[in-house]
Amino acid sequence: MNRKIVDFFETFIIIAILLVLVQTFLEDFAVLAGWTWNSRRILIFSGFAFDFIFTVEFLVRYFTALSRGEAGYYFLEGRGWIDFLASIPLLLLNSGPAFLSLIFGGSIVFGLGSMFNILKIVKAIRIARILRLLRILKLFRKIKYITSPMAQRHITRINTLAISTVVFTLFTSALIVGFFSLPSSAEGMDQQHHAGIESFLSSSGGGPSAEKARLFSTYDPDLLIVKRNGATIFSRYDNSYYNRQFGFGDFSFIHTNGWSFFFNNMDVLKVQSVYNILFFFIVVILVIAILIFYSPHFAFTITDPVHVMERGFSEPMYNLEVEIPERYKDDDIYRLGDLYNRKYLPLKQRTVFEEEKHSDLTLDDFQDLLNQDDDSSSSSD
Amino acid sequence: MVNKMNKEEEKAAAFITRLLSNPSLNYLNPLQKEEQITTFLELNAVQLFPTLASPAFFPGKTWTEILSILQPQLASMVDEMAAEGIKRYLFEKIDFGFLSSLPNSFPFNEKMIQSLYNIIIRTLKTNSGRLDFIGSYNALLYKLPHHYLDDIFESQTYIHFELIKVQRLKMSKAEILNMIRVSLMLRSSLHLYSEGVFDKSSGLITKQYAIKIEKLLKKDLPKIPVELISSAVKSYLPFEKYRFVPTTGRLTSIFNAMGKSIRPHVRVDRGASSPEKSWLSVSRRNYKYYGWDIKMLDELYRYSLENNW
Repeated sequence: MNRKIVDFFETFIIIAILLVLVQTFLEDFAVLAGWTWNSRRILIFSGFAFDFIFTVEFLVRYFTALSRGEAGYYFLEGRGWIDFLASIPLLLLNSGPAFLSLIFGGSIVFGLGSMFNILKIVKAIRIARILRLLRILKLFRKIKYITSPMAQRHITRINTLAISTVVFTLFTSALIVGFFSLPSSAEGMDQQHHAGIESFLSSSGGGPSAEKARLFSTYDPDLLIVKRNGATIFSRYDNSYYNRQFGFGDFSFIHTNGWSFFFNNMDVLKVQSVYNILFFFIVVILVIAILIFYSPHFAFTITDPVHVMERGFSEPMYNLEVEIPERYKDDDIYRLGDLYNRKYLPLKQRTVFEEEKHSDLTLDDFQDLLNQDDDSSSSSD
Repeated sequence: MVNKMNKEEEKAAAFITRLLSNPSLNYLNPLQKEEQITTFLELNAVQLFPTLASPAFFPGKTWTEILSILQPQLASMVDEMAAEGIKRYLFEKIDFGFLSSLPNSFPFNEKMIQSLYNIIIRTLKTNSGRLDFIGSYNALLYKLPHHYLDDIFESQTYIHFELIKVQRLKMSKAEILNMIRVSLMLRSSLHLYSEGVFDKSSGLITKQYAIKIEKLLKKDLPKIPVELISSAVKSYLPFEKYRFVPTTGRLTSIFNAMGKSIRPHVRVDRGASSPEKSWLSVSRRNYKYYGWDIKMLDELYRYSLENNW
């Protein structure tokens, strides 16, 4: 493939990774900040677009590797598993269903009629969002300031290990809580709503009035609307407010004996968003910490002395010693550096001038002269 | 025929000028540039020959013939540049007032400087003298004696004691500095009389040989005090064996060798020691081989460490 196209593709993916991180943060921040449904809907569309792009990217990479017989290598050594986890599951579990719900008005996923089911699905979708953070790892392929391939590999590996450990711990613990029915705030809320409805219905006697519904709303602050046989007998806000602030997943409803009760899910979603933002920052700070603190440490204590010794061995005129910090002097690399300083350099000082001829000038500096010869001979031909 | 020679010389001069002005040689002195270019021509003969034998340069010539045109041109251009630098040091930068502090000195005059200049220029006509002078030239360019002498006088420890009490130099710091500078410039003159007769790797000679050379040099420089000649010539003696080597001679030997190796303008890689510190540290381990005074190296190393040179 043309190098320019490949470079464009790589740059496009890097920009997409950075944007998707911003988008992931904003999706949760929007819930906390009470952004309007229209704004949040744009974020859902953009989330779908990103997941779609990354899914296509993964499939292109995978099938290209497959055609070369390197699919296994790509998936394991080339960290294709990160590409996979950060694309297809998200498209299927997170942005895909959300996108379809937007297109079909929420009926595909959320038309189940049960608040418990809705909360379970919302939770499953939100758990999958954690996998997006794995995309940060792809950025580490582009570390340029540490030129040594060894340093790049080590920094990338430690980042991969740290971030995947955090992400998978969060993911599996969330799955355990979700699927083994361990008590959670969402289900506690669900039980509270059911208890409220039972009490409301039993105390209504000859038929509950709007006044009793209002009483129920003071008892349960999540109650939004009460309807009987399709007619609204209580509504906390007017319709324009619901249209502006609420989308699918933001509310749940329970239908029983001709009564419909709509509840606000925003508090549950806000708690979840707080956790998501917290996880997001843990991963981002972890990455930054590794980059700011560990990468230079690795460079200073491993690659730099190796680089100095390599130059000393390969360049006749390079005779600088390896600087040995007092507190790391017992490290293997500095013990080697000490031997290089004490044994090799003195030996080199004695022999290099006689044994090797070296010039700082290279033929590349005079290519124009050399080409001039080619030009003249070709013109004479 | 004359015209043809002139044309060839012009072409050679243009080619050599091009080589000399290469940015990778910017920080080198003229003699080092010459060394680099000679090596470059030697190492890349195969690739350069088709170009240099083309009609644009020297058509029909063999490589040896091409070299015989290029090398004298290179030497002449380098000589000119080096002579200019040497003249500047001798006639402008160095104050020869220190000569009057040396015993049995003649009244200082311009002729003495001219005689020094002549002998240095003659030295540069010898291959080994030319190579050896690279170190001294760099030591002066990089002001090695200058900045170490500041610390030597400030700390007043071993080297200061050796200069003042042992060598008994009754001079100021500036005068000692100038004596070392001249000693450095005069040192390579040994090669005028002894090309190829001493240990090339360590650059050391014997006491008997030093005495012989001193006599010959004295003959050529009758007005220059023997102490100065001795400092320059005895800088080739191993201190371990000959403890009488003057302190300025020992410093001359160290600065000359340091000047040959270090390149202060080179970018120091992260994780590497500075050039002078590295050189002094390595040289402390080779002091016996090169006949240097270990205590002197230790002290200079300490200064390089403190100043991160």
